[in-house]
Amino acid sequence: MTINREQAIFAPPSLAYPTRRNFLKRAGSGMGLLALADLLDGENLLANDNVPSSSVPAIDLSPQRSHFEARAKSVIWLFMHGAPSQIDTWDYKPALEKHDGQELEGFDQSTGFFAGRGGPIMKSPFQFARHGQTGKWVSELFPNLARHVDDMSFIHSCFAHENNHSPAQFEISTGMSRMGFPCVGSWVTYGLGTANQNLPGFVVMYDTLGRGMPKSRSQSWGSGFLPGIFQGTPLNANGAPIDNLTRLDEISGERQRTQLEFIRRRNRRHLAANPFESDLEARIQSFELAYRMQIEAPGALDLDSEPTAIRNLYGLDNPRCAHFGKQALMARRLVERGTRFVQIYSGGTANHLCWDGHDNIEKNHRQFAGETDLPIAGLLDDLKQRGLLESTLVVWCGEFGRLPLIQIGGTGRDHNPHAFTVWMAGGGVQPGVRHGKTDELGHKAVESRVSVNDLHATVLHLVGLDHERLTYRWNGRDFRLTDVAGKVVHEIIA
Amino acid sequence: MRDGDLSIRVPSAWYTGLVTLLACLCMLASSLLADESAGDPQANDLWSLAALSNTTPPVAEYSRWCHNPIDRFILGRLEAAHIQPNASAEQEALIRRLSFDLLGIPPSPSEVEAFCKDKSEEAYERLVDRLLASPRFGERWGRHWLDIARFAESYGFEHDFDIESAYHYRDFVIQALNEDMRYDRFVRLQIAGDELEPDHVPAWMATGFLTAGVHNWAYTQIQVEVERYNELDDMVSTLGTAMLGMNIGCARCHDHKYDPISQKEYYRLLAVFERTVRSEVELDFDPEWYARVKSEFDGEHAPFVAALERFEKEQLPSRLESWIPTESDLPMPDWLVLSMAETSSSGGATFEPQKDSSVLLSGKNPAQDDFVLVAETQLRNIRWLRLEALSDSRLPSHGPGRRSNGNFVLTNLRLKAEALSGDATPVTARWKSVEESSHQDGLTGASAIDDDEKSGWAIHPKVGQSHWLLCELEEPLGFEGGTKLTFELEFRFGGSHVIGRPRLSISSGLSKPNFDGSESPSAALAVVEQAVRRSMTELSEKEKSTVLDWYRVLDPDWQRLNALVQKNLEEEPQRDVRKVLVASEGLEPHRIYKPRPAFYETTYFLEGGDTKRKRGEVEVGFPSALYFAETPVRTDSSSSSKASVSPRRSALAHWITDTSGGPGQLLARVIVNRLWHHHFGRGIVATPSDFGKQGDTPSHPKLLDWLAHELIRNGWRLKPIHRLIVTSATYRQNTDRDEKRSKADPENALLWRRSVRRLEGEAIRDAMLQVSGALDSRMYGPGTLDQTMKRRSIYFKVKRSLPIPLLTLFDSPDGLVTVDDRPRSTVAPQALALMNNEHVRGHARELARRILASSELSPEARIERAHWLALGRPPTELERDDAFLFLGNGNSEEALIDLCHALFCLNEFLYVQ
Repeated sequence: MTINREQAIFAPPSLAYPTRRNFLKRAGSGMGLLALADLLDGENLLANDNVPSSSVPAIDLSPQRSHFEARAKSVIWLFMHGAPSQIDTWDYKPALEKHDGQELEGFDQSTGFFAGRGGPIMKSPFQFARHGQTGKWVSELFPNLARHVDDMSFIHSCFAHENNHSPAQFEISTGMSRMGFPCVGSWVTYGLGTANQNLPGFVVMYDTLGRGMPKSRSQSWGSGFLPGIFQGTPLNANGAPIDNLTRLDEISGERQRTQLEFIRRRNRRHLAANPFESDLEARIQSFELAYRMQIEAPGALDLDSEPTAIRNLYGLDNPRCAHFGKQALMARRLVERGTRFVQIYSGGTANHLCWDGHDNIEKNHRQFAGETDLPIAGLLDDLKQRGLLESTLVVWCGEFGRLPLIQIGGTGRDHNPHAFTVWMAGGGVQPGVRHGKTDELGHKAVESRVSVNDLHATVLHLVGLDHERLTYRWNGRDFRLTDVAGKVVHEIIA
Repeated sequence: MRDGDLSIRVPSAWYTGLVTLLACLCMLASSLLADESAGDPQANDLWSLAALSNTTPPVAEYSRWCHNPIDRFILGRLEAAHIQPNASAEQEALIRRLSFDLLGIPPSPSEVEAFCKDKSEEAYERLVDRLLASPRFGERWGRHWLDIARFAESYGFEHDFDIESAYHYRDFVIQALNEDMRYDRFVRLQIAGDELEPDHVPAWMATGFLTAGVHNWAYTQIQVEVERYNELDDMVSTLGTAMLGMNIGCARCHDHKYDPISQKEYYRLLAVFERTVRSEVELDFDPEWYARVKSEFDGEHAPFVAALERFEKEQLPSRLESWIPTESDLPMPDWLVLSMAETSSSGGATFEPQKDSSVLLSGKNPAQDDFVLVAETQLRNIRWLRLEALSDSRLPSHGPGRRSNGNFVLTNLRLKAEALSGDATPVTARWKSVEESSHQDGLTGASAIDDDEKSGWAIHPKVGQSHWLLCELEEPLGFEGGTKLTFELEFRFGGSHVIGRPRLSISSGLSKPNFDGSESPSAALAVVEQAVRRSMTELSEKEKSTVLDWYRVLDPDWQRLNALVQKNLEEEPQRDVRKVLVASEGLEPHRIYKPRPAFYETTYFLEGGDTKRKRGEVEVGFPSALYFAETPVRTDSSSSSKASVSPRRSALAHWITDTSGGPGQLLARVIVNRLWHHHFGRGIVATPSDFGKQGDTPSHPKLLDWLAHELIRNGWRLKPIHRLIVTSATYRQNTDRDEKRSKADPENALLWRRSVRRLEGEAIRDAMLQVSGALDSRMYGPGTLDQTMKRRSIYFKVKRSLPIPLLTLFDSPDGLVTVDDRPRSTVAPQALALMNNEHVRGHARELARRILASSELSPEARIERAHWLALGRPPTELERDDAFLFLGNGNSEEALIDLCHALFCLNEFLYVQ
């Protein structure tokens, strides 16, 4: 996107800086000041000049061409924090019913987080039914999402390497289970830039009910060794959604415009004395962008302007899911305006405040499915009716799956890195696909296994990036999101 | 689209002559040392592993331009490329540049004025010397090193626990750079300071380099070993990258594709740190100061003691004569202190009796413990019990508990009384009431006498001081002929929440005695009781003395004199003992989840980096390709392998800094290049942490070698190298550029001009604080997360999950990995912060007030002053008029704040020319 230089820079409807005539009137007289006014006029011309840039590419968020044509322009990544159980949601296993209460032979007790707490096989407490033309089995947890199964594509054979939350969250966010690597959203923004410079390119939303951040904290949207501008911008759970977006009360809007014009004049003059310095030019522009962001972003983030019918579509009238509905609606407003990557977390930090159903899988999953089912279904409806689903990739996942066993001491399930289900929709995904299989009990992925690297390669492919070509040189090595692995799951791509 | 550059750089031709020689050396080294050679035999012909070439600066034609030998190297290349270098920048630009480069803050207006008046060469050199001697220098260059050392003060991961003792490493770095510690020693101490200079506090602080990485605290059983290998990898990788510019960590899973380190060699290097753990040690930071102030105190204290002693000698005996109590109303002190006849700990801890009849716990420190303490007394009618938990410098955090934070939880206290004669039925005390010095939320004294092991008495956060529990008995206890008192103190909370120095006293007072009332040893009671039945003259000397002791605590004059002594003792200086996070062996690991091992005794070669595919044990060894000499120095692994404090790290430290046997020459190249990098924004090697095949080759190889030689020749002192660099004409150039030269050398690799550079986040913030006069120049100590603090930004606590927003926005690193070259991004959120951030506005307000405070200035004078302070120069006439207009009609404080705020947003403020 190029900046239209014909626009008034700080967009005041009336000129905040005095016109030449006013200026002379106010300033009294004097040749010096007259000369100044001439000079200032002259400098406006300078503003239109193209300053030659240096050969070093500026680090910025301007849109970049993808490696190949792709339908998805934006990604909405829905992260079910704490790890939903595949066998209680999307991966229907009738055999659990048959084997309920039996020991699972050969089970490795060190699989779960609580060693030695893996009890006998436990059937799902939820009813399953077939939905859509594809006849997809869906748990009763998702009455609304069940309407969309024909648009969704399921990967049932995902697996992770980690069995504890934070390393597994690092893995699914960055491809590495250690801290310090860039997350998917950063890689995508690095690869593609963002379409609307007036909004952050990569936005993150986490729990707004005071239940805390994801366990991997800001690392899940960190840019690792990529420049910091590619990290996610978390919307504050309370107060102003973005830091420094609002003008301080003590300075009036008009006064700030005057101030920005003053800064711009001075910076232009400074640039004239330092021609060819592309960064100085970029920073002048950054103030102009910032000002427009200050004007535009609050509007983008303001849900009040949405009609009631749309608000209700996302469940904003339903106290159970309104908090997540607001974030889903925000996500649509952002991708509509060109934000590249939106990441939303369901659930807070502690086990019982997120999908981590160790003690009671039924109670836990009813709560968190109840918080998200309607808003996500509303999001898919809304994207579809606006024609945005074509260009928006929606991804639903957790960090791993859960065991088909009861966890001793309750009616919950412990962690299971061997199998979990991820679904995607829109953005060039082949609808209605069921890819990969787990074993009879849903314990381990056995057919067409999909690693986190494969998942990442697929997401990059869907936005037009080749995971082997998207690299960044750091400390002597060309790093990739997929490290030295990753295979695109072509079966789910339209 | 952003594609990485995947081409492998071909070594340039200039050193090909050295290759043959080096290859021979490496072969020799390999055959002497190892059963395996490097991953890629071709890799050994790496330029950075060749010995330093012995160069003399070339003779340049345009030598009038040159200030020192550096310039002759630079000019040589420029002349060859037919590019003319720039002339020197103006004085005011130079002082600003130097001040930011060396100190990270701008010069004051008076410094600028003084410097601009004197244009002599001596004035420039004097300025350089003054700046190099400033304590601000270490804070500036320390931050560069902390980026390299991935320094932080929390563990990262899910919990991101704070490490309160981690800040000492930052202090070490700042201090070492200010003192211009030899760089080879600086490196050695960071690897093995605890072994090499155990009596030197900074040497221990230095080992924080090894411990600065992340540590995963909450992981499951099957991951323990993997996490340990991750930790070792972090140490070895950071060391390789930071000090040698070699990506050693890349060999974890496979032989290194490009660099000459084999996978086996990687694991042998890991074995150096096999038993190295993070730990906290308490160190006396200033024993000399203590010795001095202690002796001063002792001198001042002596008269008080003398007065008391004189009274005891001259007055007390005669007073005792007239004190003839009758048995029925024997005056009693408030408390009789019990001496323990028997002590036992269920957890196997050791009790050491102290002079004051307390017992100090040492040795084993179990998670839970039950004490049984037995004492005898002649006192009957015991109505009160006092349990003291005394503070002691030998306890963690000075106690009074044995928990690392000094806390304890007394879950139950019981007392059983038996007649010494054995005639009566034993009695278990029942408690009537309880009172305590202090308690933690919900953990009251009453919880210690409720027979419930799930509740107890605790005192956090009032640790490091003594506490007491005062219990009243339901019915008086005590038998004719003496009583055996058995105390049971239960500490069932876990986590070593155990009292570290208990002391027990009893009282028969009818009303509640003061917790700090007069006291005597309980054992004296029998003697005094007997003595008063007879006449004083019949008593033996020993008995007399016991009676005297008993009497004196009751004498008001003695009490008064003694109180003076005690009060003065409160002022007694204490040793400056602080907890320091260190890396060492044989110490208690810090914050390791207890049931899991902190280290494994054997290091294995792991196929593919997988702990499930162990392929044999490895012995300590150093990468063969990094031996520069003909006779490689081997560590004697037989003598070191199983010792609790191993000299393995010392061996590594010596080897790495060895310029003839080890990679010391590479070490020198890497550090002089880092200095160059920060002074010019681009290193002679443009990849400062990668001197391997994937990295860049040097733009000026001979200059690099010459500088490395200079460093070694000057005894590894860094400040002379800084001085050389900044006094060069190359450094002093102005920023002018033109199309022709830009085309010929777009990246300015040949240094024909000075590049304009944006300040780092810390420097931007520090500059605002400095010019507004608000900068708090106190150095050292723990960091803080308080964004309103006024100290330099290096003193912000680096908490991995809570970075300081303003710094992060301007590309400050997050302390997870080595960062050698921060990105310098330009994005709108930075502008938003400059426009709308309350802290930025606050700095502008301070600056406006500073200007207003300097007397009644006219608007023009205010504008002038604002420019001088913020930009180090007066405004031009045009700028003055423009600013005058901006101030508007109102010459108000608000308008001036707006102007100051605007000055902070100027490129001239944010960039250095």
